[in-house]
Amino acid sequence: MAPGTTSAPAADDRSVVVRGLTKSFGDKVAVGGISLDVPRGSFYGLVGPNGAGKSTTIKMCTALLRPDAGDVWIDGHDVWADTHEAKRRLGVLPDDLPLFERLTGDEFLTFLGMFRGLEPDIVARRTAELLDVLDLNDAARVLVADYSTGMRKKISLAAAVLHAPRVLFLDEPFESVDPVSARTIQDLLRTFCGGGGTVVLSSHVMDTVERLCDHVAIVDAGSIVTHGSVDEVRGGRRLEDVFIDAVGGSNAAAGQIGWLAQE
Amino acid sequence: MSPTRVFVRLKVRLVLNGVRRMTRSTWSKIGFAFTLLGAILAAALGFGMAIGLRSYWDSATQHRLLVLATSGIVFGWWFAPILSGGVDETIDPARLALIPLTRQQIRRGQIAAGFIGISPLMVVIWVLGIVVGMARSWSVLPMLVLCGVVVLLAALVGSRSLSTSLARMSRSRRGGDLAALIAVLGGSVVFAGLQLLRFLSVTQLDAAARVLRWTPPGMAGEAFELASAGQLLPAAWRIATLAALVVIAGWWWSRQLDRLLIEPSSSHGGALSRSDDELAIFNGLRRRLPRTAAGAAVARELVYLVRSPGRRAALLGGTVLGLVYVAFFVAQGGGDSTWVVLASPVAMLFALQYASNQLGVDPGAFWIEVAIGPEPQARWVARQMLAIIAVMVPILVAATILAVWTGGWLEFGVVMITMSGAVLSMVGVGSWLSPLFVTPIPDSGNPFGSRQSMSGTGCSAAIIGMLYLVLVGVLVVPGELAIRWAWRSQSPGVTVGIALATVGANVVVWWLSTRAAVRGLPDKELEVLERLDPRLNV
Repeated sequence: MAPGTTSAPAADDRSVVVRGLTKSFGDKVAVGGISLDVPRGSFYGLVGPNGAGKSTTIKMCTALLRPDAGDVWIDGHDVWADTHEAKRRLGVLPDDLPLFERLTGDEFLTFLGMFRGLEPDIVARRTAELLDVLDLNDAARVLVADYSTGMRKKISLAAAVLHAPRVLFLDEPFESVDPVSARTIQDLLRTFCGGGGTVVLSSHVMDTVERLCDHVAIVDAGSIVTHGSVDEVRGGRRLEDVFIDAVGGSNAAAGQIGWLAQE
Repeated sequence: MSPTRVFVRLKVRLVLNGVRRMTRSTWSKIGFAFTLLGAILAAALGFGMAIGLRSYWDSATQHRLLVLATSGIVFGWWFAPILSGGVDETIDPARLALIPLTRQQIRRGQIAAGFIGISPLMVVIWVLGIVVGMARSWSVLPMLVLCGVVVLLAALVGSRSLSTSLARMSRSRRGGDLAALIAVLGGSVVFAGLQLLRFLSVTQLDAAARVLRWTPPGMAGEAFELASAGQLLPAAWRIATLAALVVIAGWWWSRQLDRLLIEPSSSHGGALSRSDDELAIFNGLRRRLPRTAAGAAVARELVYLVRSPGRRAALLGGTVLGLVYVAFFVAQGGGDSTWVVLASPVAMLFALQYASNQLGVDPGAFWIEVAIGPEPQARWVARQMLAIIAVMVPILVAATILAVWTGGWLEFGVVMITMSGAVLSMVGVGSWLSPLFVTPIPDSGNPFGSRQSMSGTGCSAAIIGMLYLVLVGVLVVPGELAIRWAWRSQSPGVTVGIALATVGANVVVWWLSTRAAVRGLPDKELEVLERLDPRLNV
């Protein structure tokens, strides 16, 4: 099923619709026919072990990587047939996309706002507010090249929400972020969802997903193992236990690397 | 505000911030000062020459200069961003992937932003000089302006097309090899061309112009000449040929841009396949290496020599270009033909950075060495081995070809004996100097993978390279002359004695300088780590 071969979904309460998304790199199938329905206004968690295909799925959902097959609609706009409109509705925090290193934090946000066609006064106001909320005021005039990993994550998040998108895709948003900033980001995302926005995030931290998300999909080896509301998926257990059962825990006992134990 | 204006403002800001950043490093400040001074002088000189084209030169010289100038501008701009250590951020498609811009908006913006900066401004001034200099009357001015605009567009669009194609090719392993080779060869040919300009006679320049006039950029030079003489129709079809090239390059750029925008990331795991014999670094011939820290470091360098696109391309490119350089050098020398074999060490020119800038190799992984702890001896052994291979392969190839060509096998022997010692001195002194002047060496043909443009780094590296070259000359030439003199006019015993003394002296230099490098590195490694930090090289 090549991209663009399925019919567009009817306008409804689904913000993101994914059908048969597939991607291979050489012989390795990274994503093998994933289908998802993300309700509008939901906080959707994608969880899975390393190399499960979460980042690849997010890239294909945000027009950063063309799938071998399958379709994605954002607010009814086909990501590949109507990329421009889809990107206007999207905010993305990728895990490895380069930034404009020679711009300061406020310049970076200002230029992105201008590229997105926002009015200068709106860009200035939102930039100031985002830098303040994300505790980047002191770094506003520091080059992005000099930012720490956590600060880069925060400025990327600010860039992702600057244009008030309808859907946010966040790849490991809390990785390398300090607990205080993580709490701030969580509050920001809750506010976004409360206003009708949709968040899709990938994470390894089950506690965070359990606390933040109302829906979750467990991805393993490029396929969805289980999905639904968090309560449905948990079935009265801890999400971490369900996750480990679903993807299969490691059989390697710690005793096998006994040389690590100190005398 | 239109996206084009945003692109221009973005580029201005990036240039200004780049300059601001240079105040942190003395070497970058010096490099930037030299770059700026050189650009101002070059712009003034080029503009002056262009203004005087019609008044001071006869028609034959005028024709030659115009064809060479337009060809030089177009081909030079194609490879200059790669040669200067990376391109500016406004043209890296990965940075634009998330923004809802159409391809047309991106293209327009990138073209407009492309004319902002020191080097682009210099070239615009040259072309302006040609337009003004060739204007005999107001009636021909529009055609001359059109020629100037098309030449600038051909230079810029071609450059963008090439950079984007190389970035796209770098997505795969084999494509990465090819991209690195194109980058090294193309960039170095431009560099070699500039170096060789002073050796060329009028006849050779004429021959070059005769060939280049059939290429679209060369035709633009003729178009200027014809337009100036009022022959607008012949001028028009020549400039139309270059305009067609602009359209084709623009179409290709658009295609590559489209693909890069939907695949900006350079790695997706699983794309590489490994054969079983690559699983450990002590496989194959490397099995004979000692299982020590030094042995592991050497094995790793050997693995990298095979796998790293940058190193393979540098070795091949260095060899090919070294040969070209030697050929021109020899063509100028004349005289006793067997003497030319002695010039073969010049072939190492393009590989010298592996000797003079040893810590700049594989900059991203230097932190591992610092984290592992004090084992500088092992690190230098591996780096010196890489430098010896990188330097000696071009020399060996050049010397062999020249010896076969001239029959100068005696000189071949002289070169080999001399270099066997001199290369030790070179790498030893290089190890000692490297922490002082370390500059990251890019390991990819992807022009977006190197982020040193507009920072003065390239200029300071070139200055250091030239100083090092002089040092190498001092080490090599006396030894060569002494051994050859002894071989020709003295007894075998004297010859062997001088050869041994030459090699011995170099061994002493190597031992002393390597010892200094081993002792000095622990004190300087944090400073080196900082200099190699990718965040500082932006």
